Amino acid sequence: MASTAPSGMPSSKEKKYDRQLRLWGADGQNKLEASHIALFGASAAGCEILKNLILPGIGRFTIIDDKKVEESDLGVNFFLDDDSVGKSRAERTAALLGELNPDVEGDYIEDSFSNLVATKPELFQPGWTPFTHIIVVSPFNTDDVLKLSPEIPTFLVHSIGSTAMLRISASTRCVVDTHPDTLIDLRLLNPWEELSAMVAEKTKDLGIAEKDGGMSDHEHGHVPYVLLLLKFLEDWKAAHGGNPPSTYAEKNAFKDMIRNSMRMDVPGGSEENYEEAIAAVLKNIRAAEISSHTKAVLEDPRCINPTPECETFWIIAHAVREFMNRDDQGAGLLPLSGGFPDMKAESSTYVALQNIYRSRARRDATFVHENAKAVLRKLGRDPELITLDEVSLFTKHANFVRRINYRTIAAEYNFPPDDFHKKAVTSALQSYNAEWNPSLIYDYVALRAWQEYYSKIGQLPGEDDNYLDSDIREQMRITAVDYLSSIGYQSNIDHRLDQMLQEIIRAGGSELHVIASLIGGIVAQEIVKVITSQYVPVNNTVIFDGIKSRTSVFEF
Amino acid sequence: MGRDARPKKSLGASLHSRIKESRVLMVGAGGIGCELLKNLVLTGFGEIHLVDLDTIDLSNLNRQFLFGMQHIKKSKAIVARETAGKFNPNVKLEAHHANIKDPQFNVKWFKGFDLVFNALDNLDARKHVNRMCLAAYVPLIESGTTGYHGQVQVIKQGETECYDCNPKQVPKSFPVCTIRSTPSQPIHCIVWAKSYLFAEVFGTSEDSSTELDQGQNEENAQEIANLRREASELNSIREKMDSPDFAKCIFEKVFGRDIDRLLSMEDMWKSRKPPTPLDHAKVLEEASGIGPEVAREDQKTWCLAENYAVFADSVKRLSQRMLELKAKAKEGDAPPILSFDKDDEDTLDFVAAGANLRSHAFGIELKSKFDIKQMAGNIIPAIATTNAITAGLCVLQAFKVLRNDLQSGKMVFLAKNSDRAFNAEKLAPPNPECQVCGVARVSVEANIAVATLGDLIEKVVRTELGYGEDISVLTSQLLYDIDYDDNLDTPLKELGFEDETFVTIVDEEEGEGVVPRANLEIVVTHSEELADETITVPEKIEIPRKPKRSTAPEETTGEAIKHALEDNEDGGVAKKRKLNDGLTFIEDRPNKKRAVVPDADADLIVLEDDGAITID
Amino acid sequence: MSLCVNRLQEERKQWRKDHPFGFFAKPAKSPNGGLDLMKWSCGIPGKEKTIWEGGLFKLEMIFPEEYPTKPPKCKFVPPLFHPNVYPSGTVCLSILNEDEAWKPAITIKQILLGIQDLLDDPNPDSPAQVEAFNLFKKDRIGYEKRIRYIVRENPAP
Repeated sequence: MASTAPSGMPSSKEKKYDRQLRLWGADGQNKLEASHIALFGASAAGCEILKNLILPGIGRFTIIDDKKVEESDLGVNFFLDDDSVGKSRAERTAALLGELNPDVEGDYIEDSFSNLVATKPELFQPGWTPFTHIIVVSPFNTDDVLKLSPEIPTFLVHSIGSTAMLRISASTRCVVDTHPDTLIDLRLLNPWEELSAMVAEKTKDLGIAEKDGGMSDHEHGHVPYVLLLLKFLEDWKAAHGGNPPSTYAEKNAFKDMIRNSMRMDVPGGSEENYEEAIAAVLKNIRAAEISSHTKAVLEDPRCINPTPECETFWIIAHAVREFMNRDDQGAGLLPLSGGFPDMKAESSTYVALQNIYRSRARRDATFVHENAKAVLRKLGRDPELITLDEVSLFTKHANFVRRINYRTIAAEYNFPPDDFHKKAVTSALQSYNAEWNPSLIYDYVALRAWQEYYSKIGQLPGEDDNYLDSDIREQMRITAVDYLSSIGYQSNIDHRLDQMLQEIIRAGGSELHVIASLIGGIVAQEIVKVITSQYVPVNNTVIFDGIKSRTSVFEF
Repeated sequence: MGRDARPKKSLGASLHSRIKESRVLMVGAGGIGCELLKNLVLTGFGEIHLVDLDTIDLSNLNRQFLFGMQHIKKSKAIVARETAGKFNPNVKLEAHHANIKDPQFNVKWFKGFDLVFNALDNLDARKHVNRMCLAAYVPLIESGTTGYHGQVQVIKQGETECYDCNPKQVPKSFPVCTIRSTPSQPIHCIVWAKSYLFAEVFGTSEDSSTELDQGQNEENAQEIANLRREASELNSIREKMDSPDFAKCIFEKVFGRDIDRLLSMEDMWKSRKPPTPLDHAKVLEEASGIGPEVAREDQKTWCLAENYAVFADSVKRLSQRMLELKAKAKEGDAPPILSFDKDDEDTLDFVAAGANLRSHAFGIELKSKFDIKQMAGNIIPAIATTNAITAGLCVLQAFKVLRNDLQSGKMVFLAKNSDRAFNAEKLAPPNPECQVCGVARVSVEANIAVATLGDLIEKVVRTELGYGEDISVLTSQLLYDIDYDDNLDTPLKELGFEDETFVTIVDEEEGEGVVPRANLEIVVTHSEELADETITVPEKIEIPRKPKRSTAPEETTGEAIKHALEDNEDGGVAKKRKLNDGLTFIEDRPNKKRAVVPDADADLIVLEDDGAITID
Repeated sequence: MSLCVNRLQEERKQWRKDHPFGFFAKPAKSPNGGLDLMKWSCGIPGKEKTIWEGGLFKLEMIFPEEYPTKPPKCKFVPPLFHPNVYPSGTVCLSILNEDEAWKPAITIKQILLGIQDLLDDPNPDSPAQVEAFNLFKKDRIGYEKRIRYIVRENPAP
């Protein structure tokens, strides 16, 4: 953290942020503090999102809104008080939100999203704009959002009655630290020299009874299961032409082979390490696979041909690719992550075995580091730019790194829609089933119709009590059907669409605080993921149904 | 448009007015509590009571947004009420700066609420509120968050699973041998420093037993003297607290002599790496010139000398505090002690340095104070967004409860990856074998100073409710069973009964074809008005029989244990019990044999479905 | 009623129906008039045909809240001279260790029998007190003399 006092003493800020530092570290926190978030629309949802960003300490925020505070706002927006009525909504919310965290700088502009897009386009241009991230809450015009740049991470948010939606748009996100469920990779089918040597040493007397000079019960019951599996694999391969067990039946037979070697005349009637070995067979006896996400990264043109301006992510990816291609380095395998599980064993043996994995991981990381330095030199950049730590983080997560290519807003909203969008929506509609697959695709269609209505007519459906709900519903239905034809969907329209249209109209464009609060959490969480480059953000749309407490995720 | 206009429109008039008339209780005003209170106030709940015994700390401010810097050290409940109260003048808010387990919050008090929300961070309080809500037949909305994970569950006696229907994960603890003699990981040394060394020097010593009085005899006088010396070594060191040599004495014993003693037991180190005792003089010299400010560099891993500097300085600070406490103590008071608190810098420094010194002696990796704080203090990472989402889900579930629509209630889990944001499943029915909710309930009144245990058993349990001879009667103690009838004539008050007491009756009848009755939970409320030993029973109830034993292996009831006991007679392999992960614990813990520091990013066990959520 | 209390009441019932001869196990009397199921006073007789025969050794068994997920703590009162017993009296035994052989289904009877076995069959891999352990390893005669003394001092009634 930039504010750490020279003596290394935790500042009061570090103490305040202690609980979140344990989640995303100083690096994540620094990234947060470098951000400037713009909120277009000081609605309840908008303010809830911003609250969740101000509390953990973003750098700055700017609220843009042209409305005056009304009494009805007080019923849904926590960041307005009685004194605010009649005043500028932007000014009042900025003031009250600012109180949440004195370390964050806040500002406001009394203007509308629409107007600024037209008159101050530099606010939305990469390189010119002070904003690092943009949030736009509905209602907004389709034409206006089409003018947003795909280079600036943008979050479009709807919150109407019991429904809410988030759409993320950004340039390619490269995430190394995806925090996967497990980093354990035992490489049982690809042991290396040191590992095999340990197997030989620790299991040479495995089958011999104690009275014949073999292992005591204690020793036998403490051979780590990893070594057991490796040893039995060798035996199996020797009896099966050098092939490991691959089919389900073979793996079961393999389990039996292990079970037969277990000593039963011991207290408890079984040996824990053997039980662990048997339990680990199905999950760990498999060829080292490269995940589809990693493959996508390794085959990305930016990885194959890194350019002088590209991010370090691609340079390291290229270095990993080279590692795999070289027989004297990876020989077709990814760098080892080094993750190692808990198991029944004597401490010293466990530590020695764990170190074998760790050393190998270190060796692999060092190779990748050297490769990376060579690439940097070739590109005319400083070879010390990428540290071993940065490389190690990557190699540790090598099978879990992600590259997310976001589809632009234009690709989703342009008319006529492109093939990807057509396919995404029609396949979701076709697989919709009210009983077995009640996805929220119709909610999406309804919200689109709502947006088109607003963009064309300039009013929120249901807002003006002069128009009959049924007339408006008919209009929106027509809009929805038009949209569906434009994507080539001609089949049955489930009555959920009507249900949703009705709900939306009834809400009259108004928000429910609890929904605003919930979507505030969801959106802020995604924004934090994008800013800190940790964990995998959604690609690219989340819809929330407050009646059933359900979500659906789509890529449109 | 008034402030009510929009919520009324969105929720519908009938639910909206039901909300306005509701009286709800929120237990806990921390992370989830702040978010929940905001939601409840803005949604328009008529009357909201808050209970929280905590005060505000700097580390709360990154997410508990009802509090600011100016509120540090003040009561959470009271400040929350003040801040939130400004946002809807129509809501009545009442704050209680108290422990929810206090006797004032009895079953009758719980009955006064339409709905209770748990916004707690500890298992013990959750179990208590669970129990009270079950006894009061009030719906409870339970929730919890950890880092990016969160969970919400609706609990209603007799209709859904209660909090205890599935056993909850218990925090990891370590065996004495590993801590005292053979540590192999940093966490062992941390537990040693916190639970053994700190407790022995500044807290209550477990080993201060002076029961070495087995008869004096020439032969064993030497042995007795040795044992006595060992046990009283630390005691005599404690007495040196005011001497400048205090830190040296402690150091030389625990990092010198005690380790020598362990080394002398050679067999212990046959297959383990033996420790090396630390040389005080040498370490002291290395540490000369290192000032105590190094203690504030919490992200750095201190070297041996730096650890010593922090150790010695923290000993000085803690001794001073102890001596001050002792000076103030009055005649007849219990001797003063200090307790470890991760936010108490002095105690944290002592434990961190002590743990690292021990790690050094045993050749174990040293850790930074920041990391030690997390391990020693069981810190759970926390952020605002998860709390916001979870609190929102709580209110949405509350709507269902208020509409009497429990059928569509859900148990919702937040997932960490982005393939889907939540997993929601229908609420499970109660576990018929649950010891906490699978009971019959009855409330009685008695004058506990007059009515005896015998009165309760004869008049209520046997005569009114039909139990037989072979029963057990338990509060937190065993009060009566077929082998123990000492207390029949004792008035209830003398058996620890208070204004409101829960008593459990267990039917111990067995034999061919006998199905014992379900456990009975009696709430005994004291009534001054009853002059004699009468015990009033408000209504006749029928006690159901215990359900047939299920055949699943992971049972935990008396029935199952009995069968397991019988199975075990011949030393057969005992069945392993599976635990479901609970709300607050963050490690994914299969049955493992080595100590592992909980992985803060381990997932909760979340039901894997393919994204299709079953419709109601 | 909590899980552990329920189980302990079961254990009490089972013990009453059937327990090994010469042993006793009963919940301690609680200050306010009941029996504290979380704390039991037990007695373990020395096994026949061993040097421990004729002795009766008192033991406290303290159950944690998380029992039976976690094992009880067993402590000889007064502390016993034995290689696997700490100076405080705490017993070091694999079935009493959550990380080793403890299983929730292990009964009080099995625990006491296990400790009785341990008396005449110390475990050389887990020494807990220097005194007894070293004597056991280096001076077996002196060790046995000491045991005989202890048996005399703690006779079975």
